[in-house]
Amino acid sequence: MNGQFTNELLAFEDDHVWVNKNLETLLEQYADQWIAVKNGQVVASDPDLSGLLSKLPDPAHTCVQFITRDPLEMVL
Amino acid sequence: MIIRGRFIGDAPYFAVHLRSGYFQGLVWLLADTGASRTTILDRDVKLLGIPAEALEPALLPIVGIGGSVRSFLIRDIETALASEEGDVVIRQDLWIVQHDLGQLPPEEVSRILRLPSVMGRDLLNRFNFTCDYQAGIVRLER
Repeated sequence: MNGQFTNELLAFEDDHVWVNKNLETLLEQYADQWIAVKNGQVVASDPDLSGLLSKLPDPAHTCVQFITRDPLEMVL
Repeated sequence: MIIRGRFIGDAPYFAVHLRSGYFQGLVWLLADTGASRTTILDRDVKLLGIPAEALEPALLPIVGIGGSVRSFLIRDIETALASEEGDVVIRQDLWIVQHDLGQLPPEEVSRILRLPSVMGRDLLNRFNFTCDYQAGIVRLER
């Protein structure tokens, strides 16, 4: 594969899947917090999204998720 | 050409790279055949750092996202997806929906910020879209 964005997109996908697969472990440390993940590692966390963004050098290219046990039922 | 998405839980997602003269970045989009337009919601507006000057008030009302919202349009965004052969780049308009978070209680703000942006039919219908949860397949093809 080649392209300007493909590798970055695939890594971004992998980080989202990693969060989902490791949710139980992440809940032990980051319950009800926003986390930022790069290359399968938590690089920052904060209870507040704005607080997290202030800790990130490049939030627009980072996987950001809220870690919680509370399900969010969506009918979009 | 195949663009593979991923299931998170039972929901199909695709990663896209957005670029305009005002911002660029990655967004994780929920594939939503119920949405007519691809729409960026509050969390991703913050993550992308979309400036107010990039936003053109939308003339069409948006129905389906609860609460008091403001809707905007950003024209001619470069949208890139990852296929097995490399980047697939499309240019299209994007919708932006912002809730008035300053007027809402914290628990409501928290729920709204968890809402994903959505890939609507304007983008999905440019491809053959397969979403087979039982087989674990989500993809765009053409």
